[in-house]
Amino acid sequence: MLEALYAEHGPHILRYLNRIVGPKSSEDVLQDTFVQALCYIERLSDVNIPRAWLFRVARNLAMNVLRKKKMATHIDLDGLVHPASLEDPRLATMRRAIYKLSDNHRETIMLRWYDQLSYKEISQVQDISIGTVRSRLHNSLGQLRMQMDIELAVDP
Amino acid sequence: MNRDLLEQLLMDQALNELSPESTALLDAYLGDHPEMHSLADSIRETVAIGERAVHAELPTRLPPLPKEKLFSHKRTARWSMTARWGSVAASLIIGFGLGISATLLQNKPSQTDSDTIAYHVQSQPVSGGLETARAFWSSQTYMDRYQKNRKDRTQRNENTELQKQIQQFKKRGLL
Repeated sequence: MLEALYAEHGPHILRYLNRIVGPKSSEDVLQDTFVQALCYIERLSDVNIPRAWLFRVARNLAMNVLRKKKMATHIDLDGLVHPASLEDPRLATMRRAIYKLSDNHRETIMLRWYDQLSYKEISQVQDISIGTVRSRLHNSLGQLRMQMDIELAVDP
Repeated sequence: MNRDLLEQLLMDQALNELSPESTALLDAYLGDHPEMHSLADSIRETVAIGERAVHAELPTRLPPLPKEKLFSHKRTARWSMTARWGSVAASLIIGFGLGISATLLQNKPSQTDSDTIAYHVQSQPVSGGLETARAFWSSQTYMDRYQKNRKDRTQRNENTELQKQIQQFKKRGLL
């Protein structure tokens, strides 16, 4: 069961951890996540959405790592750029706008866009209500739209 | 429908979180209100750009599942569980033992009953022996001592009053 979970969700969690703790620590945290999963393997069958549960465990472990190293969240959006997207200047503008969001809003929007989690999954990962997830996403989108309009008006 | 609500629905739709029924209703509304098309397009475009801006491929190489680490952790977990239950059992046994000891001590006859005291009093160089000791703890003796103390206190108060009066007389030069 654990191997199946690892094969199915491992890549997604590794990508998520790459973003949070950086590529150096992400593999260790990924392994620790599944060690934790093994401890609660009986309980895992009762969990509605195992992916959200695993993300949450990974998030907690990643936060511990960051706390130990006294690091801020590793967000290397520039590292996400791939050559084709360099051609569209709006993408860089969008990344700058995402940087300017508050930590909570940025994390919520990244869980949606980068990790492609649903509202319900995000609510479980961040331990907040679905209403709060919705509100954070709406606020973030509003801010991003405004920021994009301003930046593109100044530098079209 | 007000603009705020429409924006929220459009955002949910752009984020693929609107149910098919709501999507159909929203599309029908937009069909009747072409002036809102620009708003809908703007929101969809923002979401599309955002998704592209942060898009990252899934990692192709996944580190192997650390089986040794998993099993050693499982063993440790099992031991720690045993240790935890062991400590709970030990605490229960100690608590139970202490409880039984306390109960037994409570039921044991007191060593300070009147006979024992009488024995100790008897061993002192006091005349009367056992009878004296028993009489010492009797209620009659207690009452006698209480009344004597009360009498002494009253007398002491009276003496104080008398002394005050004498001092006053001395001050006035009468004595």
